[in-house]
Amino acid sequence: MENGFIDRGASHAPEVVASPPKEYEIVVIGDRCKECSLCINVCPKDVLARGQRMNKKGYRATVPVKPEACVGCRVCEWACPDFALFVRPSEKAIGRVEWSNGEEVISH
Amino acid sequence: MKAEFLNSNQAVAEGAMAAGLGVYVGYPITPSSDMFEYLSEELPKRGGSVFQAEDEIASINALVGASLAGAKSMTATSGPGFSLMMEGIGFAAMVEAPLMIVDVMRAGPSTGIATQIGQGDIYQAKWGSHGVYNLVAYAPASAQEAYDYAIKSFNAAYRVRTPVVLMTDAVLAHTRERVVLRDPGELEIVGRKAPKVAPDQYRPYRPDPEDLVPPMAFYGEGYHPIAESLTHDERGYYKTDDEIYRALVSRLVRKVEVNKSKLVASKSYYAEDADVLFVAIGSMARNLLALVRELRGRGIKAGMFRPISLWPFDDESFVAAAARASKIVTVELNQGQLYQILKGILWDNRNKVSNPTIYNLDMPLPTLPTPDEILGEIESRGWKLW
Amino acid sequence: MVMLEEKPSHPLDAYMRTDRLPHIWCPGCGIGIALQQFLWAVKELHEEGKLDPNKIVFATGIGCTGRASGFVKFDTAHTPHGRAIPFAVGVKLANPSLIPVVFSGDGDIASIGGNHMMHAARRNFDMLVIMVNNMTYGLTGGQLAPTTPHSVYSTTTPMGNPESPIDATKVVYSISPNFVARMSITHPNLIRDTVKKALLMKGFRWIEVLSTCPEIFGRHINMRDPYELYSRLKKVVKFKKVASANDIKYDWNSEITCGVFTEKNDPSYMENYLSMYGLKEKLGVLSP
Repeated sequence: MENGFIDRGASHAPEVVASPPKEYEIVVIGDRCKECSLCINVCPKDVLARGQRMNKKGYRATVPVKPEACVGCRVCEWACPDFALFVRPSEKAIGRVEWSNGEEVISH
Repeated sequence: MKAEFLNSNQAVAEGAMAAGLGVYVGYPITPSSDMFEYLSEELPKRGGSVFQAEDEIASINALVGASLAGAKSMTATSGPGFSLMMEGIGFAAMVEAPLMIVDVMRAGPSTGIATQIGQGDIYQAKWGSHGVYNLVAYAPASAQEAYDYAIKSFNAAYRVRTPVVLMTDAVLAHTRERVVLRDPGELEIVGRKAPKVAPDQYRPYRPDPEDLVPPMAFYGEGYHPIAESLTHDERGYYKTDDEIYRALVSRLVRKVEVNKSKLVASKSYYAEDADVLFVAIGSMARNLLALVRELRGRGIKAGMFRPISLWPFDDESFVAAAARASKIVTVELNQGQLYQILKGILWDNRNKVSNPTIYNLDMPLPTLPTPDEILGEIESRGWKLW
Repeated sequence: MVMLEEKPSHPLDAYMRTDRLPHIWCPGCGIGIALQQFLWAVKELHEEGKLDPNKIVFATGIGCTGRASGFVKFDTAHTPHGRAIPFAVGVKLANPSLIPVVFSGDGDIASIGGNHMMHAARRNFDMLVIMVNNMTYGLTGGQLAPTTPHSVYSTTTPMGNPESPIDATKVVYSISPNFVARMSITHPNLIRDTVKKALLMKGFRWIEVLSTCPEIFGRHINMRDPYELYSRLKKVVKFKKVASANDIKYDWNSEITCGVFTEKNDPSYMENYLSMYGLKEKLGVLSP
């Protein structure tokens, strides 16, 4: 298991287990985001949107506004050039934006 | 120890192997190719690898990689290849990779005469790459010295973590002479200074204050060293601040200077009471010595100073040899490179010498002049040296 | 607003020098996407016990892609322009147990480094080369690259590129080393799979990764928005099996063929050299 997923290589179909994860936690590392919006555009479920708060570099970090719609495809994570967001299975659907001063914004 | 009859190409190869040579990466170029060929057969027998690269640029860059990965590494080349390596030499200096480059000097510039002697690379050895850096260069004058200084070149390289240039010439390369090969126990071999701290404490470019040289972690030991060609701080992170740049490049220069006493070498002949002091390196010095002896036979107080380390130059020994001389004569197969070096040293030490006149006997020839021809050259310029 | 006790960090942070993030690449730059997939491949192989990241020597050249060596936590080298491949040769000769990975851009590898690229492939030399191709010289401001499409603007061809680009993958394919592939940042999972496979093979392995440079290349072709350029790239890449070099296309206006084109297991340079020259001890520690 890696990062909560059973991963046989993304090009293979995931193995079905007894209770597959249905909810996901989407974490944005606010100070790394550069507002390129690739994640927002590639998400098939409109989970993400541009936030209002600017990070230290002046970019408005992505916010997971509809974490409950996330299906865990991770295409957003892999489209991000900045190591600024990742997705993992979770008990509850939750979206976080972490900032380097310890604050975080939670959407759920 | 045992005595063999070797030319200096072979002698350098034997010396390098005695010092623990691990990787040779080269490209054929006259008059160094037979050193490469000799090593391609001998070095694997001693556990090392020899690789023919696609050009000299690949060679020098491969040597930096090999050095940082933990092998004593060298190449041999001549003028045109040496020129190609200049960027790589700067890279080696910047990332502080110890390695040896043998420049078997030939007549230049450009393609020149591949098979004949040159001495025109003296300045290039130290100043050939761009920017602010330093390195060590030696010019042996016999096959024995070529053997001994191949070992000392590696020692110097690991002492100060710079590339070291060993400058022989096309005549030495193929002149066979008696060479005494030392046994391992008889040799002083210097290796790297290993890191004394744990990986998370290690900073690849943090020098030890006593010698300004950082301990060297090799690749694969878990230290994750960064070899950074951009200007960097102690961690190897790219930084453009004035203070960091200055601290780095000053240290690259000073680390050779503060270790100078362990690096310089020279020899003086009949210098104690010499009024005319000749100066030459390599094969030229051998012919010149014959002339000096002849002049002495005629009652002329001639002497010779022979630099072995070109960079750093053994200025202290030169000043001592020149103390009583009223005339200094540099004799070289170029336009006067030793001449330029000595002019500067004489000026810096003008209160320690007796105001000698320095003469530039520049003989840009592709062959060695005989002692008589050197004398003839002096006379043809109308110099009254004695 | 909630104060965290323990921040979850990105799953790849262990393989990065996180004190240097955010990295210097522009918004929407494909290099970060390619690097991310490389690091996933390393992480997964590491966790499967198939790869020791301490043995990786990650060598880059000069250019935007070349800056990658500053962000990864491996043994690294930021070499002079075009010289990462010969540097990697030296590393492997000195210590055959090390795993050289060259990660550099199209200008660095296929222009000034072209000779080294060719000969390393010819020798089937033991290294993995990942060439991130954004079709421009990004770091220096957008000059012509050997991979820039014909007639496109660049700062050194302001009236349009009079040249035709080189298909570096096709050149390497025709030299026939052990592994030749072309991938795209628009298909990140395939990059990861391909890198995982290549890292465990021997000999010369080549993966070109088509990439986006919205700030410069995109701006030059009037597609400055990252997603617009990303979509444009996604439209032109076509994953196919190829039977010969003629099947491999590199045309920004119609098709850039992607996929794994060569996959074989011929003896590597080091295998050949070490066995022919009796260097048994080194042969014993030789790793892919």
